[in-house]
Amino acid sequence: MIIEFMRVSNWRSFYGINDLWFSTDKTKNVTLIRAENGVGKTSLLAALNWCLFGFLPGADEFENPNNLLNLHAKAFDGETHAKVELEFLHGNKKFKASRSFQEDIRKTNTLKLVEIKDGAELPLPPNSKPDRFINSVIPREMAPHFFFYGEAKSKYTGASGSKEFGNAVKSILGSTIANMALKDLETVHKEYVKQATDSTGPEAIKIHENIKDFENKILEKKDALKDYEEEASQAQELIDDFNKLLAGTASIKTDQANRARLETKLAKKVSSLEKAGAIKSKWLSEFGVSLLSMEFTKKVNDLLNQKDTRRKIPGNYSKKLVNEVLEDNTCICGRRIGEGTKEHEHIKSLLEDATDEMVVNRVMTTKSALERLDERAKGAWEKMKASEERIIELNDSITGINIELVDISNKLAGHDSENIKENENARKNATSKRDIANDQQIRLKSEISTYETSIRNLKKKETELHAKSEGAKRFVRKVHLTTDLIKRLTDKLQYEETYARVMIKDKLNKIIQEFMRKSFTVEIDKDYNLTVLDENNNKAAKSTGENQLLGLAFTGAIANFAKDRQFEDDDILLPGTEAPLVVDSPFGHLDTIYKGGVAEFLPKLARQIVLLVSTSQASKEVMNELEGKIGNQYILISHNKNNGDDKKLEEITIDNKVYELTKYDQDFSGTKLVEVG
Amino acid sequence: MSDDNVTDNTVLDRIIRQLISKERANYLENGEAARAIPSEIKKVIEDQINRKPR
Repeated sequence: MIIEFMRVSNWRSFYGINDLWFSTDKTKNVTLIRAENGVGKTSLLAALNWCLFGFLPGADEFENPNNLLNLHAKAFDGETHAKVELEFLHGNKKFKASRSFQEDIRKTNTLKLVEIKDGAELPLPPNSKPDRFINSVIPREMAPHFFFYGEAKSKYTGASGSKEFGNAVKSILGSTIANMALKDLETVHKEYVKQATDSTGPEAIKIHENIKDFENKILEKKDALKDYEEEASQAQELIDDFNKLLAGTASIKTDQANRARLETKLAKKVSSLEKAGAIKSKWLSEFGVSLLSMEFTKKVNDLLNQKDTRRKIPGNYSKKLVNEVLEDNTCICGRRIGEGTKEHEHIKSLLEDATDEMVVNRVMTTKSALERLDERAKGAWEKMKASEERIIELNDSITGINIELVDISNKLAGHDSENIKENENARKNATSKRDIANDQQIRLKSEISTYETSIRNLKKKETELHAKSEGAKRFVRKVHLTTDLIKRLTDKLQYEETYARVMIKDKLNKIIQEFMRKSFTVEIDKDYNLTVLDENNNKAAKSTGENQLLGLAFTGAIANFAKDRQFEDDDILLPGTEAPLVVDSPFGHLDTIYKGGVAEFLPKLARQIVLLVSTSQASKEVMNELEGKIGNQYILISHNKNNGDDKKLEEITIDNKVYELTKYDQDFSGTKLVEVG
Repeated sequence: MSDDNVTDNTVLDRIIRQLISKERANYLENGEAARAIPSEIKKVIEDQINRKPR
């Protein structure tokens, strides 16, 4: 999708007809729109979303959502309609989408769509639905990642961030439909199980009730878990904020640096302790058999050794050979041994105690296996001892580090400066809250796991009862089929999501490595928890500017992934899309060097870029970097009927031409879009 | 998996395609506000069960 043109008529702050031509040039792919705060940047973005999808931004970003019609046009011109029209290219065709709002009956009209051919508007075929068509051009679930409100910021870190990020990946992957199918399949599956149970008998019904009861308990626990995750994440954010505040105070810089160092060390020790704990837990499964068989091994060994030491017959004596000697009546030395002679009878009697090669081999193999068990058992205790020693050592280190951390905290909490004292105590509170929230999470996870195990066992029992029931037969087949379908669809989705996560992570790291001053890398685990690591692989504390840069990098990575997937012909997922990237205030918190870097990489993120910036954000560095990349440029000018009460003149000079940003004593109050140049 | 009653993956994929096509039509029509369509899903499942030789 390439947007060519947008017309906003009496929409929100925009008075009258305002036309905006977007740059469609491949090299000069940036359309720059400059405006001061409150003049209409968000309204312009909202116009785009509203026209295509009919939705408006959230209340926190969109004041007075009921005022869609420009107030001046309504009051003085008697206007009743606000309208947004959009012309765009898709495939080899050009389309015009439009939506209007009728103030007198407060109605948002449905989307209208026509094809434009040789300047003429051609209606779409009678049965085609404009909403469907737009959804196929840019799926509405992906739209917020292209046209997004508010300053770009990294909202993907922390517990709530992982959920946001997971949702972003899922939406850009187009898995919404498959997830809807999965949800419906689960509903249907539950219904079939219930029918099978009802046809089986009271025992199955009782089990089913227990399962439902446990499932409800899991839901309750999961809700509580979510709250604690959020609480821990908020507390951690507070701790990070206080760390920054305290780190900025010169007199305690050393203490803060020591604390940061100790906390990194603590995190490593805790991680090692977890690993040591895991090794200890595995110990029993690794050595249990050897240890349990120790007594048996000893007894069997004693028995074998006894036989060996009797030495009535050498261990490698061949029964076959003795039999041949007896059959031939000739000793191996050549002497005749007649049948019935004393010698013949003696040799024959020896055979009763004799063993042959096969038996010897068996005994040897048994002995060697027992020796191996014995040897392994010996190693087991050594390993257990080493593991326990390691755990004691790590616990000692952790206690030591914690004591040092408490000392630093107490020192800062008792500092002469009230400010430091206050910040440190607040930090202490946040740390305590975080630790409590983390402990609660561990408890809840363990409880959930216990319920899950119980449910698994009960379901197994329920399935067994269904299988025995003649009445449940016809439902059992449906249960089996839905079980298989759920598993197959879940596996497919998991595969696609893993692939998407890895691809987005790679794209993200490429962008970060190219444009961030520090060598950060991003790790994303299977739960979409996102960690930013510094060059020493430690968790990095980021500045506001760096967070903003990360936010932009995410947007770029996600948009780029959607573009890669635009021609995907998948059975279960929606194809991706290539759409203009509309970014509001991308330079907000960035310092001069980063501003230049962002201005350099933004045009590379998509085929068509629209930047909405305040005049102060369009600094010299930004404009230098955007030089040669801006196709079209506009300014939003605020018009006011009042005289401004001697307010300071706001103007901007672009290419030696001066533009007034705010005009007073005008015929109307509202915003006008003015093309630069 | 449901042990000895496991359905062949090719069959499962075919049914999944049918289910997705129903869900897609529902989604494109109604967007994120689309209601669940378990009755349509049931119809696909039951058609499949009925077509299988007993």
